[in-house]
Amino acid sequence: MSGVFGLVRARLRARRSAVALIATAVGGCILVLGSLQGVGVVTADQATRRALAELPAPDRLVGIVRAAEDASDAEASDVLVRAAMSGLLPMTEPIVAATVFRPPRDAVRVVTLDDASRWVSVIDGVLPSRCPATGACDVVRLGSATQLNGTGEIGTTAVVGDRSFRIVGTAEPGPDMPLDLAGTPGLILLADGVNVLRRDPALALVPRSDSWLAPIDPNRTHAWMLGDLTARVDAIRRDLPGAGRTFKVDAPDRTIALVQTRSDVAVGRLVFISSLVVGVLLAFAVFAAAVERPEVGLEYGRLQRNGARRSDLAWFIALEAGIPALLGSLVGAAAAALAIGLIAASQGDPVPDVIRLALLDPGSVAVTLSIAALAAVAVGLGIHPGSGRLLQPRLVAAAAIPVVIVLVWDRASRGPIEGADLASQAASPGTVLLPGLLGLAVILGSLVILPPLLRGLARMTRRAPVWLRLATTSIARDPLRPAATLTLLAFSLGSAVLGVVYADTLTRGAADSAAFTTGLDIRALSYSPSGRFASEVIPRLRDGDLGADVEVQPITRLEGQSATGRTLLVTGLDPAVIPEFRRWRSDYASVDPARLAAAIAVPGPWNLPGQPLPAGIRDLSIDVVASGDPIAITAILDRGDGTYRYLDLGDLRTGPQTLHKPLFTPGELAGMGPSDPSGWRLVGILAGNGGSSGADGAEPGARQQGDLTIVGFPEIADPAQPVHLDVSGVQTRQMIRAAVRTDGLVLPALVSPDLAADVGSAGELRVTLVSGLVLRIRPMAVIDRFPTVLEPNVGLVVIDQGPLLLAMTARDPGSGTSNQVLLGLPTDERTAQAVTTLSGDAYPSLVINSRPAIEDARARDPFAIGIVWALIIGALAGLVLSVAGVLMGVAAELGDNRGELREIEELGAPPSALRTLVVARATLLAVVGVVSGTVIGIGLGWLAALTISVSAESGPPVPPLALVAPWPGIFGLVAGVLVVIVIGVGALARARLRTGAAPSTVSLPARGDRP
Amino acid sequence: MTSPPLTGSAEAIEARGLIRVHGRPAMAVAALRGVDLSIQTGELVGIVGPSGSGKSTLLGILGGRDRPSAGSVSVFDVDLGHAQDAILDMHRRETVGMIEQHYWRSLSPHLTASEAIDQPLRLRRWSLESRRVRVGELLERIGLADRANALPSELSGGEQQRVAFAAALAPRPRLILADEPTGELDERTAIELLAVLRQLVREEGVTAVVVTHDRLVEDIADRVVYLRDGRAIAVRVGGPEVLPLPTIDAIGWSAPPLPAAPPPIPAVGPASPHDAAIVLEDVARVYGAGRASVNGLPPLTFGFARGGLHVITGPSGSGKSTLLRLIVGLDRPTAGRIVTLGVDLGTLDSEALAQFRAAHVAVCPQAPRLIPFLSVLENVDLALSIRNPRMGDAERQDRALDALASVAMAGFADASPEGLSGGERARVGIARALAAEPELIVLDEPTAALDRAVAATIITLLGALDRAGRTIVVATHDRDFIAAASDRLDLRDHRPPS
Repeated sequence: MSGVFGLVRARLRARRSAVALIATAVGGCILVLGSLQGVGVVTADQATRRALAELPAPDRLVGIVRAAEDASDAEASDVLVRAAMSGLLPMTEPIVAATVFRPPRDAVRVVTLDDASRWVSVIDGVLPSRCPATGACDVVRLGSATQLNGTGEIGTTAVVGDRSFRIVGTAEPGPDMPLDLAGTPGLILLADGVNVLRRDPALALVPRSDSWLAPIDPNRTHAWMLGDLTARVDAIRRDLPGAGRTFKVDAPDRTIALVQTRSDVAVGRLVFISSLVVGVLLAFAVFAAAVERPEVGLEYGRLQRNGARRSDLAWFIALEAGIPALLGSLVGAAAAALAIGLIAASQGDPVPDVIRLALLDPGSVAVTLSIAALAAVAVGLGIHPGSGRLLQPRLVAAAAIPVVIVLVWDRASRGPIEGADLASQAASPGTVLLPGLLGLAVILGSLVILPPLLRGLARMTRRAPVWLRLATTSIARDPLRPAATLTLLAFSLGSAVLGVVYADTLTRGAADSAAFTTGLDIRALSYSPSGRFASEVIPRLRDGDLGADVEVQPITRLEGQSATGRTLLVTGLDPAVIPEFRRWRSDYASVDPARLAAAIAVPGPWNLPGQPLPAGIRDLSIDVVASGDPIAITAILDRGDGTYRYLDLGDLRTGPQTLHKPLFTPGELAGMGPSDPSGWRLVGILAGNGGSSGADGAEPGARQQGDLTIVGFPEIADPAQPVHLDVSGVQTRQMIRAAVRTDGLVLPALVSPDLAADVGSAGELRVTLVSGLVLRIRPMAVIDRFPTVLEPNVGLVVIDQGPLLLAMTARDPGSGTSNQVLLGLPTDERTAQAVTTLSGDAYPSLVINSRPAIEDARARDPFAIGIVWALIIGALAGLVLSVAGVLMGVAAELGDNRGELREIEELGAPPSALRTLVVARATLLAVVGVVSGTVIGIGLGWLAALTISVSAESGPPVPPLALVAPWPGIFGLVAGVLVVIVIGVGALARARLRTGAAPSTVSLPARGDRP
Repeated sequence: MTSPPLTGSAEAIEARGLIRVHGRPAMAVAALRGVDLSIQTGELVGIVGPSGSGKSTLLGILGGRDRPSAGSVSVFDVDLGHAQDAILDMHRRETVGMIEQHYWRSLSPHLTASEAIDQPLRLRRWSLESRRVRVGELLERIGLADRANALPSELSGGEQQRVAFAAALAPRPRLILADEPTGELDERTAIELLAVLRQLVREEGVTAVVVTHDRLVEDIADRVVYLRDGRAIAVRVGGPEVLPLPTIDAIGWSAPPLPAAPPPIPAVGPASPHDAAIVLEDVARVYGAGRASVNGLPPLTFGFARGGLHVITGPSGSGKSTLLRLIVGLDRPTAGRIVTLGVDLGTLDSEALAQFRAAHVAVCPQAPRLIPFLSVLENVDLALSIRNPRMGDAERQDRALDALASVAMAGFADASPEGLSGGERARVGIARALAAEPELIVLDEPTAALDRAVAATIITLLGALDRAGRTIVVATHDRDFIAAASDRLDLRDHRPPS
């Protein structure tokens, strides 16, 4: 081995540039991988700290609560708990001790904490001073509850146990208040001085809850500490004596788990992307090694002839490959540490910790060593003179392509990779390696396909200008290396294009998702079931409360079921809003939105017919003739403003009778004018068996039938035609009303594909809403997705809102109301103003989604930022490699093809022509390479968007990501690469092929000559 | 030069009915067709034959790098035909020393002369002291003790080949196999080298087999085996004065007679001394500067008359190729003045020099790099395009065809260069030069890679070309070429004593 080592050492000294090239490629692998790992660590940490910081203080506490009937064991418990919690202190703020005294018969609670000013802000009076050991203790009242005797007001005194508490002010909890006192009944008093009161003999017999609270400090708790935090909390739960009985241990487990899951998803995707980038970088290493192979082959042959054993030869190849790989790994690790340090420092993360996690933890070290070993093997194969037989592109392609096909098939059959797959790393290794393997297959395929193509190109240019002929001939003369250069360029640039495309896809995906969530610019719905939304909020919005430039589009969203039992969501809206939806995408439906709107629009009006009531009406009287059971009768009155009044008219008796009832209470009448109300109509008579007739012996659920003739309300019922009523059963109702347009109407609808498949022979679907209303719909077009419908795996039905509301109203007057509203605004600034208004007290109980706000939040999401950073790193690596690959190839060819250039020079070509030839050859390769690279990059982007079902912020993308090719950016990138290559090659050519009086144009000596 | 053949006490090599077939059955080529061969220990044997006669195949089998398809061969009692791979490995490592034709391929450019000789010893785990003694001894024997630390790039071709000899002999192999060891050396260097080889072989007591088509080897060999078409057709035991005897092999096959000597090459008449095509006035070329400078061409004053076939000869490294490049303006002298075809090249910049070459000069390299996927005609056509991009397609085509016809290659116009023999490729290279109708043609070692018969046809062809008034300058160490030339410049005569 010593002979081999001496030779390798001499070669390393003499061939520094070649070693540097391979080392750079391997180092690049480590650098990119390390940087991506660093990005992953920093991203996860940012997300963790942000998630923790956004939690209210009570929700990010690790707390231990001891409920006790008296002060016994208080001291021992304090020592025990503090010892147990000591391990948490690096991640938490100092332990806050608190005690709530709960005297059993008084509706008063005394809460004591140290440093009261930290936790509450004074509303009235002053903050309490520290409680003295004896005597009256100052307190503030929290909340508004006082006792009936006035205790609780400032200046009063409450007595708990044998201790008196003087109320010196009122206060409210601040944002850092660790105790959640919401829902605590009675008078709540806050005293300053935990230890004094806990030990106070005057309170010794008062039941209490002692708490030790350690709020997790977002500035000190990093993502990598979460596992430790969880473990320590688990240890407290397990090891603290009395845990689960005497002590109750609380921790924000769910929040931690959620953050960890998102973090794992983000890291999983980074691994997926890293696989591609590392694959390209390794290909570069092999390429660099292949450039070296002829030289190594000569040395290998010399060693063989000089009597080297097989082990010597193996050592030679191992050292030739391993030393550059090792050097590259060390330099790459150092560079990665620097890059990670810069990234961490820029984000305010602790640099040593991030470097340790990204590079030095056992997993990272294993990955780095694996890459170095893989690179060494790849380089070894690349430089091994015998690998030509083993690595015949045809043979390898024949082996690799079927493997890739199987993997693609496997991937396709599993569907897109979900976030959970990435998080749990449940995706098969094949999935994770798929991009790299695909890249390898493309590279190998190219090496097989390109040489004959290049030869064909050279023959095709036989009649072209001589410079082009020479360029194509030169490429085709020894096509494997140009093919390798071309492939490397195409794939490297492809990875850069992928970075641009995928980053833009994610960014636009976030914007699409925001627009999909809100439909227009704001989507508001109420979480209050009061009904004020439809009766107050929407009318006010329609009346221009937010401004005249606001487009207000109420929609109705209802759950239902198809006849086959599929769960579905029915959306009723004004069809005209569909073309107005922001960022509509063609993958939502194969038909454009205007045609979708036209397909479901049914001209109105959609009013429930009714009998107008005179203005100023005070009482309702209805003459009827009844027979049969005592059925309960209710009049349904349309107030004219979209709301309805149900007026109980009592039970029917047999025979003619007048059902009469005042319409208003005295209080209501007090504010009414003589012509009020106006525009009221009687729209229906509701017969029911609600149990009110039980007093007459008609038990609910019993048979109740009869006939009813209504006189004087021809719009409701024909007075000549009695109506048969049958309301037998529990809460059975029957409405007498005029016929409406929706009775029996088949509504044109947009439906999802699964529902379209359920359409019967008549072309109809029956949809049953939760209310029991059955809609007959006729699918007019199929939609795959519909804005504002975020729920996964539900059927979609979209219909005109007018007939939907009428159908609902006709069945159950008052139920036909919108439950969401979409608002369109001219600018983002106006949208922000509208959000501010809607968030104010004037619009309580609204859930507001604003498109710009969602976009902004997603843009600031650490995971979104992290993935874009990762893609930028990948893109930069691709760009550098693509340019370096071509320049390296040209430099090598200028060296190795000196015979060719010399011969052309001997034939009379001037140096300028030689330079033109070199530049033309490189440009030709570069043009083909960048075009191929663009295609490859977009193809990979499509693959990534198709297979990774994870949004920028590491959540499920709704709607799914759609590939976006930012052509101006891509063209800029490609043009930039071309320009840099042409300039670089031109400079190389000028350096090697100088014009002038001396020295020679091609001054390289012939072999065998002296230099 | 010749000494009595050694008759060893044992047979070093014994081959019987040696057959080697290359390629797939459908396209099989028999390189050896039943060679019988016996070589005694300590003999220096030359294997002589034209290209394709099977010399290199035989050497490969003797060296353990190839196996015979049939027949038997044993080297020092090791049956190479049936030996296991490990035995063959050991044979290659312990028994054989290889000397290559291309000395620049034999020596690592990164190892000094002493390191190159030392490396085989280190690979065989010799002790440090033993290695030091052996390396010093060999450097003394090859006369390069004072160049022990020189890299190959600092040695002449002959010196490099000597180092290669020493490296091959260093581990004391029992068998030296040399493949065209003088193929790239001038005659005088070749004679010196062969003398060194013979001396080393004698002193080390090894058996040596030298494959060559250089007749100089016949002068130093104890025995010469003549191969043709894969058979040994004659053996000469003794000096050149002894006639070779036809062989009769074990199955009674009687060899055909030795091929007749090629007809004498007509000498070209002397050129007119009054009309100089090339004038060299104190021309010198030094590479590098300071202590690292290398004298590529010592100061030279000379003139080549217009017309005629001029040869430049001299030892390897004497500056033949450098001079060729200087007289066509592909390189610049560091001193002196060159006037070619009446033009002072020093007055032209690189672009003007290129135009001058395109118009008046054709350079023919040793191994023309024909483009394999273009036809012969297209190769010539492309060369014309480079010279004169404005020339019409038809004119280029006509000129290319005429040029091919003038070298008797018109019938190969549509053929692929890949199917051409070495001689045919050389002809196409010359046609490519002729198509430009130059006044001056310079050729660098045009026959170096050709066997004697093929080389003779090329020399005859070039000799005929001067009749059209062209000036032809050839750098060569081919003795036939030198004999046929009208004028000769021996750079050894102009080299200052070292």
